Amino acid sequence: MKVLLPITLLSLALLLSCGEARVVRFQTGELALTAEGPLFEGSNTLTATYTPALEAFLKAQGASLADLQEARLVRASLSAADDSTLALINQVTLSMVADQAEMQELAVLNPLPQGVKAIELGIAQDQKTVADFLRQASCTFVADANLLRDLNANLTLTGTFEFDLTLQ
Amino acid sequence: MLLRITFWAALVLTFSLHLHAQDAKADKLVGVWEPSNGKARVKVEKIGTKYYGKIVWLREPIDPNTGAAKVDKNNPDESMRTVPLKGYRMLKDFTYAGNGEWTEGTIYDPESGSTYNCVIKLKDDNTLDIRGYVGVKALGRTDVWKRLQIQ
Repeated sequence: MKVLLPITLLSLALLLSCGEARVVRFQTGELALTAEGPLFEGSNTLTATYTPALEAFLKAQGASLADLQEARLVRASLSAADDSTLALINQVTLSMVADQAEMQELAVLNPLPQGVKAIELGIAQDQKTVADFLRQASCTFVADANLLRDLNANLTLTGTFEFDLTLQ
Repeated sequence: MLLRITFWAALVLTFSLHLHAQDAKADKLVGVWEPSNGKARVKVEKIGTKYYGKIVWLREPIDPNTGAAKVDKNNPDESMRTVPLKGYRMLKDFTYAGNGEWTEGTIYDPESGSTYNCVIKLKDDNTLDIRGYVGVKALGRTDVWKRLQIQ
């Protein structure tokens, strides 16, 4: 009995120290993805540089960057000031890039529905390096949008992106 | 004192000119390029500090089986097989290594759905050697791409 008690306590302590992984939702807020005009029919690149400030977010969750095991994009929404803007576009592919991480396509919508002011992209199943993007001081959201005709102006879409972060 | 200020100003100027010259050399990759088979045209652009190339033109843009615009039907991730080939980024993450060479990148072959390591060498202002390989650079294949001249 005297031997069993310390072993039980030690096992309990080990279990508690390992802890179970938990998932928290991280949102970017609204980002302006912009391509400078004039733009030509076909594929055009809209970008938004983003500062994740993940450390502060995780601190508020009682965690740190070291606790971040995995990140997955779970929602990608794009909207425009009016429905005529999205009517110009028939396909969008969303990627992320960063200096210290490899580019990855994370979402797509092909074709876009017509007559709408906002769209939800289909999310990629295979996501490999998303946590690496969010760990950077800065990363870039890239939307490759296929324009149906030339546009003699800048093109801006508002993006909001949500990630599930797995924390240890 | 004046001599010291002049020295530092000259040093800073030399350094910034050197950086500018490096950027100009690195940006020679930017433009529209055509692979030797002439099936596509690829636009290379700079995002952040790296270079990416996407397909902007296809000789045969329509899939004869579907009658619709070609998509990335061989993507290993089934959920991304609706990504249009026109606009697809087949060159990714290239960094300028000096001497007219860009490294650390990958090239995607949409016909097989395979991604290869890749190095790009500028032979002259309008010609690229694109070498795709798996593992060892010596065991790869080189294609020659020509810059599309704007009329």
